[in-house]
Amino acid sequence: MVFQSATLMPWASAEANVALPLRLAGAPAREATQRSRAALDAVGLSGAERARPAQLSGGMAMRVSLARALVTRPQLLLLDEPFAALDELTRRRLADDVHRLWAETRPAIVFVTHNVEEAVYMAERVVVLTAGPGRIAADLPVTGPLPRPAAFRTTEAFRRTAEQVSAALEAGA
Amino acid sequence: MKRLSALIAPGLLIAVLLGGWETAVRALGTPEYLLPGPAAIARAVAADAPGLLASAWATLRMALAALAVATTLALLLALAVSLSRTLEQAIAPLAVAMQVTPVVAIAPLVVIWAGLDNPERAIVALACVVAFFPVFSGALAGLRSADPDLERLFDLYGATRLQRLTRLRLPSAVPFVLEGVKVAAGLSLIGTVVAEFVAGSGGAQGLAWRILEAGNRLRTADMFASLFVLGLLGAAVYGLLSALERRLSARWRGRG
Repeated sequence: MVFQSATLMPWASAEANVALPLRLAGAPAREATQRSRAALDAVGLSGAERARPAQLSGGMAMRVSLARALVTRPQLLLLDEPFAALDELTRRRLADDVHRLWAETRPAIVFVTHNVEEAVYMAERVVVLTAGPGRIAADLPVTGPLPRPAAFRTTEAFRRTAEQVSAALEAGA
Repeated sequence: MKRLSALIAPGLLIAVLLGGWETAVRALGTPEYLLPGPAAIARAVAADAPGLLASAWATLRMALAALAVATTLALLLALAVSLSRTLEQAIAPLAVAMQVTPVVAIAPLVVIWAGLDNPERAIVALACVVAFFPVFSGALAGLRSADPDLERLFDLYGATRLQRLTRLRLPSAVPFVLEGVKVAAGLSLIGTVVAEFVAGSGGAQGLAWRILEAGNRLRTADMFASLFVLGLLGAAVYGLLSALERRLSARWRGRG
């Protein structure tokens, strides 16, 4: 589970934050720390193990949050607007990181977003929900390889699907 | 530059006020028992510096003892209350009643209970009553202040009650407790002085006792001397605890 904000414990180091799920499950400290370091390394944060959340940028804090969600090697990952508070560049970089990490263990990911392009970029399947009572307005497949190739955002398939999703949103609103 | 002016501005104001005071007292020829000038007060401080220092230490010692006891009790009780809704409902009105009852009003009772031979014990107990509440309410608020999203995360990972307490609620409470202790330190000093007044003279020879004694003898300059030392003591305690609180909570937030 990753929330809209990083939701880290301000009094604990990045390492301890990521180790939390393991510690709560009763894992011994040493093993938890080792796996926590590996998870931080996987999200590109080796070297920041000892840093406190206040010393991290928004994007780095979100990476710690992602590492915490991945450290238990879940089969289902729920990302609730994880990039909402980040700038565009960080957002794109993290999107590719999520794909790369997904490719390693291939968990099912439910990714909630209000951004049409982000939805199409991230997912193999986009489900559009209506406002008010949240009903399914459309269920669209996205064709294209995962992780996404470099210029995926400029491809015809990406644009067409994005238009379809937008249209479904308009209709459902 | 900013720091310098923060030091100079109040210093200048104090100098002007003291100067005006001294001039007025001399010009009007006010008798010293009514209102001594700063120079007379300074002489009184200098004349009995060791005695004043000993009294200041006595007052400070009692205030610190009260702060330590009050903090311990308040933390334990806040912890118990945060774990049980029923206990909270039972204790909350009592705690408030204790808080709003003026310490002067219960002082004579405590003096009787602690025994007239042990005024120091009575004074510490009374200051304790005053210092208890800010720590208690701070700790209680702190134990409830945990980020709701973090609480949800703990739910998600199946945390036990003990894990939630030690890994989430207690660390979340730290800044609140620090703030409470800071406020309580000032209050326990005030409580000590008030209690000293009520307990009267005798075994405990703190600063308040000096003020009473000097007052009875109409030695107004000595009264001011004790007041001056009390003011310094209060400022020192507050300054020290503010600095300590800032340091510790900065460390807690990872900006130490």
